[in-house]
Amino acid sequence: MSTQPKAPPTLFALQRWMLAAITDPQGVADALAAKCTQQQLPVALETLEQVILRGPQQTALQRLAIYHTAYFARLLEVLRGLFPCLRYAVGDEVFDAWMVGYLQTHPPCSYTLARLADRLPEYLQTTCPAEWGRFAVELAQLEQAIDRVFDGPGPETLPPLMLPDRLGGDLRLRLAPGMELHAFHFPVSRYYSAFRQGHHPDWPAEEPQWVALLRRDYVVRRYELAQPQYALLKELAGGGTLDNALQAAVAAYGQHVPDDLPAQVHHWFAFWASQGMFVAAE
Amino acid sequence: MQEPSACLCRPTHLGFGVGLRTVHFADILRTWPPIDWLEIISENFLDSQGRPRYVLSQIAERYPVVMHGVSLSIGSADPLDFDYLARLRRLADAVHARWVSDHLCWTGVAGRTSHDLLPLPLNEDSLRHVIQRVRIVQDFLERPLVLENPSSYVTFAASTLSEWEFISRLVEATGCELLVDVNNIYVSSRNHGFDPRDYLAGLPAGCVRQYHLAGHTDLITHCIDTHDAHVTDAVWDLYAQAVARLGPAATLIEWDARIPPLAVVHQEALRAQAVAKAAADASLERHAQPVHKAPRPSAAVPGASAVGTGSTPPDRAPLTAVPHPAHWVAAEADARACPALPAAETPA
Repeated sequence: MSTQPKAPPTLFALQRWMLAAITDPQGVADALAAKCTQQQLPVALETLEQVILRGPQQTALQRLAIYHTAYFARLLEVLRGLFPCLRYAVGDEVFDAWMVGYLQTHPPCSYTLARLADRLPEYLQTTCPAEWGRFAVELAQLEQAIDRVFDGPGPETLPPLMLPDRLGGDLRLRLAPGMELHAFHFPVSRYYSAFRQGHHPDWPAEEPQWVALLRRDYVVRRYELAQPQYALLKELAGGGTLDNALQAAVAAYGQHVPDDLPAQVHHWFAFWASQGMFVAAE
Repeated sequence: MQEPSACLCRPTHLGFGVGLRTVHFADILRTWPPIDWLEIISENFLDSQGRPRYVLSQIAERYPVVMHGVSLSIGSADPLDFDYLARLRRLADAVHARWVSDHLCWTGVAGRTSHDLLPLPLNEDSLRHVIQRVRIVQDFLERPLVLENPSSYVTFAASTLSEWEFISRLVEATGCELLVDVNNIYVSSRNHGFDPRDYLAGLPAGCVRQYHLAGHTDLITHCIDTHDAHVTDAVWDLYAQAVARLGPAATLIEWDARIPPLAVVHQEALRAQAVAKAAADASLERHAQPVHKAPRPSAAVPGASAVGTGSTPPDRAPLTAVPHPAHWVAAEADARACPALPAAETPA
């Protein structure tokens, strides 16, 4: 049973109480009765006006509810903006339900909304229905990675690297700052492209996809890779020599290494260099 | 009481600016419009190493820039975030920010944040608390802090001071300066039932560094500070009174939702210029009641009785009116999401 507050609350107690009340997905009225809110300030709905005053045309509850509505509306708007493709893929209702659950589990704690979804893929990994899980998680990971590359460090201020004609085996190539390599179980990049082009793609069947993300001239570029290309670039990204990287690519081919692999590799490097994937050769 | 100056060209009077928003990046970079100055939402640039920061650098070379934050949380019971303050200071130095402002509010507590501008109980205890923190912040930033009156939707039983009393004493104790958000005064007056003229009369003259103007949503029983429409006639009237009472100062139009083309926002800033000039002239010439000579006629009665004059009416209001700040500025769609997917170079 709630009791009336005995003395004016401390600022800390009042703020903790208000934050708990306006961030409870069940609504302010339910929040007031909740244990965590009562622990901050033992005020019941009937005695709310001992804390929040009635307004000219609104009750104390209605006034407090404005902040509750705003909290979820604002953060959902942000999350929809960060994950437009995931939202399309699962639909508004499911998306919003997931996001409300996420906000409850991982409430915002950074000064910037850019960090709001940092733990979303991790959250989805543990909460998504099994039949939806991996695709949704990977789509979230892709959209998050695009944002990260977009606003993270980039190569724009660095001079272009001209690759030497002959690439020695002990050469180490440094990838552009911020460049990311991803291996997915679903063709999420292709799905994302279709969505961005205004199509209405269906959920794809499982099919591995390897993707490089690179920013150039402040625009994020996606490159769908073959597995050997991914293996090669991944090895270079880890600081491996060109020889190590080529071995990784050969290993990715398994039993079916093409005869013209050296020519292909030469072609790959020429293309990647033209795209600005490398910033230094050591 | 200090008389307002007729001069709109004080060193800190940057003129009539607009808030820098992502949707206008391309337009600004292409046309370099004759806008007096631009205000950024600090948090949108603090950590950026990509296009937002690049665009800001370009803009800061050509326009005066002011930093307006939403996460200082000066009224929070939590300790100040010195990492955040250090980032603010670095950005301010980098873009030669003319000043740094934030809100008289709290945004979170116990390590959590609401990303909203939450109101404080206004009493002696909270005043002491805020005074102490403003002094610390000013010392750290090595510049005066400019604080804005927020819109609010609740008042606390624990409050013993009016907002204008609280602000006046805060200014007196700390030397901080004011960003008077005229729309917020109007919105709060409607929500709490005070006369906005009393608010203006209670503020100290000579401490106003800046004014904010914005649109709001009028829901009849209350108003929401949505920044999604033109400034209302009632707020224009109040702005004229503010200029007459408190003096001219740099003025900025905020538009954060349903953002129109830059030219429309700029036009609103030019209207502010006309209103301010008329108010300052009238005040100087007659030293009498500040008559509003707005370019467009206004039938609105200033004050709390001016219900529903020109703001977003309920039938056109969004289903969920969200108070400012929805300060997440989504990246430009084309830049974030790759205009073209380069062909994959796949092996045979």
